[in-house]
Amino acid sequence: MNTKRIIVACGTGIATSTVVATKIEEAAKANGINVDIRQCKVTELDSMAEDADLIVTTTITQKKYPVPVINGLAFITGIGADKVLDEIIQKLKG
Amino acid sequence: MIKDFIREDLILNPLVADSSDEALKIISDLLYSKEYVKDSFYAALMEREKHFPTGLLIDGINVAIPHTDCIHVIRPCIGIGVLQKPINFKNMGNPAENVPVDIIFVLALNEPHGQIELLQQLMSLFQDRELLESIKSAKNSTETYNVITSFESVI
Repeated sequence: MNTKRIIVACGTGIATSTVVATKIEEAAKANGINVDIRQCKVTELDSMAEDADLIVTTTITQKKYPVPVINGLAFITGIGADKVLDEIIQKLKG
Repeated sequence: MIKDFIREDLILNPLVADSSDEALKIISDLLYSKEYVKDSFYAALMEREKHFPTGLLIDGINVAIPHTDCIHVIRPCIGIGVLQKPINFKNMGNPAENVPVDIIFVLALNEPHGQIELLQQLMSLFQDRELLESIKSAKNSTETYNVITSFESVI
């Protein structure tokens, strides 16, 4: 399977995106999906989004991107995290 | 891991403030006075909070995790404020929504992606309702410190 590139973005690119990126990496591995995960600030998304397969953010993004955008805040609060993780895995498999 | 970043003298319980700005100023001043952060920290923290708020709705007890770029940090730590009465932050997931926050964790991190264990522990702490309740109801900073550091043994 091809490697899927995922961009994980948060306000500073250091805290919540780190937690989310790790979660996705673990889940992808468990599902046999190769991923290349990059972290950035939401403000850097424009330049990063181009060659991505999926974007996961912990904040709301106003802009439209050519790839699916999933809200990963559930990984921070724990509420509904499993559901969001399933959604991400489905998108990567699709 | 969390224990390495938490110090009793960086916990304010109770923290009395009327606004998120005031609360963050008090915590930032404390971190600055003890040389954990540079004098630019507070302004950077506020700027980030304005554009990308950090309030988290967690099932009744809400927290905020203000943080900013590493360049404003000298030594990593977590400054904690247990608010006497909740104050509004904006929701990380929806900046138009207010979140009445009970506990503030100011994350002063100095490695871009290196403090993952700390962050993961912190997130699992947020998901422990009973523990958050204990932090909130702790009578003073010493008690708050003891509650949080006791959590480490569970992980």
